[in-house]
Amino acid sequence: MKDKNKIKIRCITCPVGCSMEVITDKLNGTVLDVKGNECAKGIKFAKEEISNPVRILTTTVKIDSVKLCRLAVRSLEPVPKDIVKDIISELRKMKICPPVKAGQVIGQNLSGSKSKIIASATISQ
Amino acid sequence: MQQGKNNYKKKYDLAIIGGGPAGMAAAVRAHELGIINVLLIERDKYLGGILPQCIHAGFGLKIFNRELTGPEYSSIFEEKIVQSGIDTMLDTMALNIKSENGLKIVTAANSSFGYFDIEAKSVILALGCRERTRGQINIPGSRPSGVYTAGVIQRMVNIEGYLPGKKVVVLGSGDIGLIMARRMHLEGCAVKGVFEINPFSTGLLRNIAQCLDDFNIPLYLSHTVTGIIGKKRIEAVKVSKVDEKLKPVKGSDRIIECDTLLLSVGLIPENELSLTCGILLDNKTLGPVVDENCQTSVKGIFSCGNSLFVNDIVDNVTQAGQAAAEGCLAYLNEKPYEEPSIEVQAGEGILYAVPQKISGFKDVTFSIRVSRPMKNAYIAFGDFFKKKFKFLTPGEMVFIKIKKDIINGLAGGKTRVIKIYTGSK
Ligand SMILES: Cc1cc2nc3c(=O)[nH]c(=O)nc-3n(C[C@H](O)[C@H](O)[C@H](O)COP(=O)(O)OP(=O)(O)OC[C@H]3O[C@@H](n4cnc5c(N)ncnc54)[C@H](O)[C@@H]3O)c2cc1C
Ligand code: SF4
Repeated sequence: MKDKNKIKIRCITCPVGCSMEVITDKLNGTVLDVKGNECAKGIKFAKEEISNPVRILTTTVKIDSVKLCRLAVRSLEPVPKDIVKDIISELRKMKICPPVKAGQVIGQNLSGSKSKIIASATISQ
Repeated sequence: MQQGKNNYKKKYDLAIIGGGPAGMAAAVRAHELGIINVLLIERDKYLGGILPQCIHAGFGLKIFNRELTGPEYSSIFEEKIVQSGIDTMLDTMALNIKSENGLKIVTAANSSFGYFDIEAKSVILALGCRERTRGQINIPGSRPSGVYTAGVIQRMVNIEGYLPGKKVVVLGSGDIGLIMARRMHLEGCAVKGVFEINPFSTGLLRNIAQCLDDFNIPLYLSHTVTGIIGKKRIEAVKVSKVDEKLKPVKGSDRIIECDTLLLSVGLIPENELSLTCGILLDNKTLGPVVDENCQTSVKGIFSCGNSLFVNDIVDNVTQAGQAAAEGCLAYLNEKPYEEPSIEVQAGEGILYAVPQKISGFKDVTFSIRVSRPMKNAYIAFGDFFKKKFKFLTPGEMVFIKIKKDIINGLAGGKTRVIKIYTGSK
């Protein structure tokens, strides 16, 4: 086991939340084995979590509407975990004007992320 | 979030009270089933219930096989309601229901019409739930400001757009507590920790991982808040370890500085309206006693969603709303109604099981909540139906479908009782 690392992670893909043990190569970090996953999605998650952990980002931005003052937004795809807070800081500076439709793109390339930020809700006025 | 109609008729086949996911699903399903004359009443300015303020992703995995946010999930049903032209009254509070000669008189109020009555052949109650407050869990100490329930803070932050404080202590580690801990952290607050009185968290493991572990927010199991310090504004809380009986351990207390205490200590089905027409409540679920058609003890009045019992996931609430509409259709069609004469009892290890009464003429899917976490356990129905589980926890409801022949086998004798209980292998 000298050249291998044992890492404990939790799969967050579905509500089962399997507790997994991941064996990686100490030198290049590749995943050699995954244990404790109930389904194949666990392996995909483990590989991603070791090389580039990602999360769905959700927050709100200011909106200039007659009824509401915040618009819920999300990243269309999961974004790298370590830039979640940077993206949120950029979104904090934004102000949107209605009408906005759920799914509409609100921001792109924020903090170097590849995922679009889209509106979660429809606000017509 | 759409605008409601302000014109309304005086008579409806079905009045649905509450425009959250349960009420919206019931309305859409009723329309699909051909119940045309439907009215949906919601006291808030918009439809969706608590979904518009639940901005995180985690909704719809079961029904849509995608991880949607609360507002996204809600908008799918809002659109269907607009398309089907269902009469919707927003900003309208239902205050009273009377059952007269089989008809239901719903008294409601809003700013356009004042108080007014609506006559409906049937009613679906989809009222959601309330949060337990400090008074209901008895935390001693002064009464400063800065103590809020999770849902109130969630609304402030996500809808109204302001932060209640900067240094937060969270009491309760259910999913709502975990999700709000992450939300406050991402809004720049110092989240000092999540304190849980039980030796286990009732929240999903994935939420512990992605809401706490991701941000190094500590979780203290077998701990509770035993005092609140501060005159005008909360300045600190006293936290203590608890023993197996959940009593604070002497000498284990310490002081944690904070300006906000976020309480996530449980939900209670909302049923004040149900009580106005004498609907019988279950003292365990705190929601109405219902049969397999979601019908309450008052004929023609149905209940679903969080006002029936507190659900973990919205997909189940949607399905419950649909089931209530189906039950309602049978009632409106005056199908000969089978009396629910079999009583369902919650035994050892079972907190509750719904429906509480069944007829034996239909297959039934029971919603069951166990009272404590168990490994390698089974849930048994009477003496001869058992289902095994690797893991059972109060945080995740179990659904078990039982065929009508088995039901009749189990409740065949004079007693007409089915007892549900747990055990280990
Ligand atoms: C913080 C939080 C996080 C959650 N996270 C998830 C998650 O990740 N995934 C998931 O699947 N589920 C989650 N849930 C659970 C899910 O959102 C609920 O189970 C669901 O919203 C319940 O729906 P409901 O329609 O029964 O109640 P509600 O959404 O509460 O709707 C009830 C509606 O009835 C209205 N009403 C009540 N009384 C009256 C009256 N007298 N007259 C008129 N209108 C009335 C209310 O205004 C409200 O709009 C979460 C819940 C919370 C609070
Ligand atoms: S491994 Fe499969 S079952 Fe386990 S949490 Fe991940 S997706 Fe769910």
